[in-house]
Amino acid sequence: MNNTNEQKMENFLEQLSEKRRTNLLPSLLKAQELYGYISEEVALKISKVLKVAPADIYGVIEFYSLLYSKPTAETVIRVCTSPLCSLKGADKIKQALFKKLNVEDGVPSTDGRFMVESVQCLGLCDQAPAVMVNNRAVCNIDDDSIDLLINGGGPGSKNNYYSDNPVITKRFGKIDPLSIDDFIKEDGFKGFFHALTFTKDELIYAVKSSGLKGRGGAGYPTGLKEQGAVAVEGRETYVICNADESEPGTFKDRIMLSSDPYSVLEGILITAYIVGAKKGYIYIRGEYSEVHDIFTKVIENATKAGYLGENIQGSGLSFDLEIRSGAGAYICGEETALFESIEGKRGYPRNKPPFPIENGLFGKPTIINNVETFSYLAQVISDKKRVVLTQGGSPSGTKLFCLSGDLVRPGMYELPFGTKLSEVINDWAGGVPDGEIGSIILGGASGSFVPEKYWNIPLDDQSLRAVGLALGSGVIMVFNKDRDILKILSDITVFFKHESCGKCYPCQQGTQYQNEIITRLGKGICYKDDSEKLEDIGLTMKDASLCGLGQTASSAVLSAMKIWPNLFEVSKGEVE
Amino acid sequence: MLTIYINDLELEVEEGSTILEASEKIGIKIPTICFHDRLTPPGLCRQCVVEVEGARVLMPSCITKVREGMKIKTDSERVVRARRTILEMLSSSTDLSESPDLLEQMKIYKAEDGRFENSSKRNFKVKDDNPFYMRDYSKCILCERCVQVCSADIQFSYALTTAGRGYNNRITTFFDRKLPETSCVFCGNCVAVCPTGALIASNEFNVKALGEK
Amino acid sequence: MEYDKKIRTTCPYCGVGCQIELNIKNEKIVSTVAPESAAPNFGRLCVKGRYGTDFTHHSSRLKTPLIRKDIGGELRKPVGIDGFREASWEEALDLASIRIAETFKKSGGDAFGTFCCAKATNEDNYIFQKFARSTLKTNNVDHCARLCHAASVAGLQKALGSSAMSNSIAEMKDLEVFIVTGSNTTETHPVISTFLREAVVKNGAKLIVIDPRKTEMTNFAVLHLQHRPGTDVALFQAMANIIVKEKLFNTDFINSRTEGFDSYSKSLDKFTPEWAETITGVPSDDIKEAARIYANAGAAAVYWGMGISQSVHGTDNTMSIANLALLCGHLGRPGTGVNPLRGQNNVQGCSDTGGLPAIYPGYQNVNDQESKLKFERAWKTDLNGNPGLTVLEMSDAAGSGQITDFIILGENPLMSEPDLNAARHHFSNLKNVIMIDIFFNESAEYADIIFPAASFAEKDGTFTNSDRRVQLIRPAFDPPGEARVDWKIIQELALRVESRLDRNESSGFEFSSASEIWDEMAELVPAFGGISHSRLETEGGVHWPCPDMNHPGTPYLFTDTFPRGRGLFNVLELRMDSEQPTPEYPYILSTGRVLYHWHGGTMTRRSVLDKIYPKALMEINPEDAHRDGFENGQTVTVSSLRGSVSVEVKISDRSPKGVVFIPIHFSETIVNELTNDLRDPVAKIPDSKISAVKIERTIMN
Repeated sequence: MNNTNEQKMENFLEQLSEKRRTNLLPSLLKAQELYGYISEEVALKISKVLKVAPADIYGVIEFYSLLYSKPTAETVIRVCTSPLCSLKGADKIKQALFKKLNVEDGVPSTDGRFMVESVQCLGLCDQAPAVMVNNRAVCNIDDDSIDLLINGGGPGSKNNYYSDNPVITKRFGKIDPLSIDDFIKEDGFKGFFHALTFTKDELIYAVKSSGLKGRGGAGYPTGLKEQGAVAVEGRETYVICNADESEPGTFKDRIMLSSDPYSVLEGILITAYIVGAKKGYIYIRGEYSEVHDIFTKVIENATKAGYLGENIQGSGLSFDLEIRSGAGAYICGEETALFESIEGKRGYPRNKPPFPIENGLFGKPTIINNVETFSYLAQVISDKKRVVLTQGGSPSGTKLFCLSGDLVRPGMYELPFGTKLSEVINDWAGGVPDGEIGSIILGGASGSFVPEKYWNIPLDDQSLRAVGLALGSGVIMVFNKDRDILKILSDITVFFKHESCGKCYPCQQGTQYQNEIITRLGKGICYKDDSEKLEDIGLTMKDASLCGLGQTASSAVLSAMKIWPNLFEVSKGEVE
Repeated sequence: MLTIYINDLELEVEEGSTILEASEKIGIKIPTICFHDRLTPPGLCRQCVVEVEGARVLMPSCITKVREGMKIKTDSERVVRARRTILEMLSSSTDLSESPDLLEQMKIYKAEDGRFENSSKRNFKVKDDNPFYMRDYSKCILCERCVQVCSADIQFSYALTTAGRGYNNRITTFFDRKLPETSCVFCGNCVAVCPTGALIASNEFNVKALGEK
Repeated sequence: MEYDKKIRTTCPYCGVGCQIELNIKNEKIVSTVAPESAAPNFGRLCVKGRYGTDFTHHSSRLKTPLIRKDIGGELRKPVGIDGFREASWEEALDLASIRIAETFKKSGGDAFGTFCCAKATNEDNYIFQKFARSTLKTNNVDHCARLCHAASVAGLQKALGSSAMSNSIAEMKDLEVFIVTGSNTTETHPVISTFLREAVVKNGAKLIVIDPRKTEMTNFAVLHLQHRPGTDVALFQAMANIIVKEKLFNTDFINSRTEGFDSYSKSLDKFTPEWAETITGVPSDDIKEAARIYANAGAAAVYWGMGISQSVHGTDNTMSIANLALLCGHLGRPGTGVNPLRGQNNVQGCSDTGGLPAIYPGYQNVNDQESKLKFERAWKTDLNGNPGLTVLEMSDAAGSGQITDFIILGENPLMSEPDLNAARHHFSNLKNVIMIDIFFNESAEYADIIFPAASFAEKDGTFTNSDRRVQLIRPAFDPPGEARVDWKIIQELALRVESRLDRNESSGFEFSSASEIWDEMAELVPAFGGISHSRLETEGGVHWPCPDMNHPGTPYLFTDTFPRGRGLFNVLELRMDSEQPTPEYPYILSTGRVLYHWHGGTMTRRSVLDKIYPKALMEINPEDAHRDGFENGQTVTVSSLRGSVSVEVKISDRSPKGVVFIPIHFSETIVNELTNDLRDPVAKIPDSKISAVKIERTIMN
């Protein structure tokens, strides 16, 4: 074992303020960074310092995709194989890399220099196909860039965003995202200072009447959450920003946090003020190391400028924010799984109730919101005279949409609620290059295919709910006419199979069997009761799974079965 | 006391009781798998789900507390489909031959044994690494009772963990070490709560093997 | 699988008294489970209870009576089982009764030394001590508790007037603060340790471990005071010093429930934590912290094991703990108490039923005229009013020729006594040794007649566990061969001896069941008055005292008063009487148990348990091992002034520097060859935890 690494690991453990389980994931990530894997020896050292049982540590290592119990390589190339990258040739890239580097999937080369691994969504769907070379994203890969990426080059990631009436993206491009002065010059922290002049009840009333709902997908009214957490006053309360976006089709946290990170911080501060929290976390997915670096700076600058720490801006509010990095597990975007992860455990979602506002992180009341929600909250409170309305067709109510797939201009769009789906696709994103729309998925991998008759539907909650659709986190994936629906479904079901935590039976088993059947169908092998089986699996997952992941893991399949039933039935004498 | 309705039957139940407890009181049998009297209910098997009016999804009756006026269906079509499918999936992935309770449930719910293709059936070699008990994980349904018992519910020995993710979850030890090289103290409290015979006293295993010859 | 039957009974191992269910197929135990609703273990078991009952089927079980081939010869030499011949019951019982009657007629009752059995049932022990007292007229009745908790008994008797564990196992999971001292609870009382850990993990209880060794329980402790062996009194007195100095004591309790506080509190002046640090090696701040945690708790309990008791200062150690409890009023309420953890399944019951030299059943003194009369009336004969000899005194008396006959029920003194060289010498001096046992053990090598008895799975009766809970055992199958149930053997023997002694009237041995034996005892012992086999059958278990059928039993003692009236503070001085290391014998040897074995190993070494822990390992601190060049797995010779053994090295930081630990279970490494015979002056218990030894590499030929 390398001596300097050993020293570094020791120093890391030594400087931890809390030598307990909550620091398990940071410690394991550190070990992973230093050694390329976590050996028994290092795991035992961590076990001793943090007083976590060795078996528990192994369970955690084996849960998270970015943690390894066996040696990896100097350079780890992670090839995204999620639906959008897959459509754009991920498999070809993978095969080319295997051949060039003479390796197999997930097995380090004999000289320990390279490892190529298929992974799930990297949040670069608007720049597919994409890979991560160690911590660096390489995007829009074509035949030419394969050699480049091996040698440390290749096109990096960009922030593609568009709007003509920006509310929360208004500072994008105008400011240096890291500069707190730039942010303040552009009305930054205005919402926070306004908040200080209101009572908590007034603020909650304002948030409630703004109609702001969670932007992570579930859409729970933000004001109600705050009200709930305030109700349990006297207890320690936490505020958490959920930046663990990992679902195919979603990349808005990445763009938001790297373009205007202080606006998110502002929303967090306002929330902390409302609920009286002293401590908060921002949980950033492990693959977003750039975002992690940005936010580290943000916290540093904000602390220096007196926007974090003791008695913030003389307001009496004292608040600390800690970054927690995910370690490769989509499920940790589920709020209770995220708590477990911060607590140093496997990312198993908890049964609800109890809900986070009564019993969240460390068993304490916790407010957890999406990145977009926090940023929007700052806007809601920013104007002292009027409440900024956020939803329900108001001209000022906007939403971030992530567009990806076969489009001229994939990227993130801030558009008013109620903008029509076809308008977003054709007018904003430039439509399908050299072709026609074949299918649309709304809501991400956990969303549904949109029947053609609704392609012109206004994108707001009411209109969508009326026809059984949901906006989710605002993902729109567009596929041209040539795309094979079963291939798309196969990629989606692989994603869920890979990301199911396995705690509850319907999802643990259902994601497996759903994928097996879909993949077989894709190969042209169909049994006569396949649609019945898929329906039983799908509805069982939807009805009986423990958390949102399982409950939506069959949405795409079930919606496709309604639109294209013949794909799932025996025809042309394929088999049986 | 609260008034609730189970399958249209009105009954008074104590506040704080679960739907499972309330149902048992009036003799309605709700099937369970992971639930165990002396352990913290993990609510993971979802076999005890019931339909609660107004709820979007089915609710696990082992941990869902009754509320005033709650209307519960313990055998609705959705419920029966979920239970049957869960059993069918389990029987497709796992050897349930030593799980009398589950076999009984399969009969009740007319579940088709091994209905789903088993290209990924769980197949493991029996682990026989100590003098006291064997681990046949081909029979393991991942109810995690053994992990609970070994850690913070009964024994506080922390020798076992779930590793992996999703369908590839598995019960194991620190870096898959043999049990004698772990903190296991062979209390066998895990064996006692295993519902499927995945954990079995070596002596019993041998006596059985002899008997079958 | 399908079993022929399931038999609910009580675990035969440690004093927790776990309820178990034996799954029986073809008259054999195939597996063991625990009923989940039954106290005290509520479904929990340890490896011994779960897997270790297979000794009952071991091929070496005694199946017929055995008579020494050279019986009556001049010199008693140790012989193996080949030195014995099989005999009929008739012959063996006759011969035994003739020899016993001969001794009685020639030398009187006090020529007998009799050993009760902490593994046998209450009923077996009652009838055995009745035989000794009524037929043989001797109070030379004792058992191996002398070698384990005698000092706890003596100390608590002095302080409180009662010696049992004061609180119940059921309370443990709800503890607030507790001290575990001199107890490797995880290994010696595994199921109790789960409840104690549960208190810490689930209830947020604060645990203070006071132990020279870094036991597993320290992983759960807020404080581990790792004192030097033998300095317990200094440590506890220093805690008391702080409690008095900072006025953390419970004035109300002291005023209403205790006596002797003034002189006691004055005596503490010199026991400052700073002074104690120099004696114990424990930082004074830790001592203060421990004192404050204990004293400031709403309820706090102390649990201890052999580390406190098996000491030349054992009685003082116990009294220093009792002093603390009296100071803070941590007695007589749930979650408080002074709790010696009993090591054997029925060591509590063996004492309760009169297996001690100074008492009749129920702790009624033999020299108390009223008690004596009561038992004389019941047993229809004159009794000896003089307290008898203790275990080690009986051994001494055998050496001096004062005692000529040993009658031993299920014990193995030549494994469990200290300084075995001397003990064996004493044994060879005896004229007549009669044993009742299930195996041919180390002591049997000196026997004349051996009767094959029944294991726990082959008989009816009761065991009383560590928290005074009387519980049933039930037969699952017949004893092997011609082996018989213990009390029936004693019954036969007693009747024959009575008749050879021409007693006009029998003291009453015509019992037809174990339940009848219990009933006779319950009539004579007020604390058992409300307990009967049929009640235990319905209730599962009852904590004595339970004076009548309507009384619920007593899970915790001393609610309103102590048996001696007021609790007595005992002024103590620090004594340092243990053998001290010397340049020639630089290490302190501590002896004790491991999880997988039990006591002399007679049962566990004949079980599947032996497979996982097949030989003795000597734990030595890494620094010591490194300095003296010992490696894991190396065989070394450990010697004291008295003897030497060979043992394998296991380097472990569980042992503090300068201290090595060797378990007591292995007949290949009999650690009592090394221990010394220093005894606590009051309790007569040996100093098993401290002997000076040297360690040398074994030269292989």
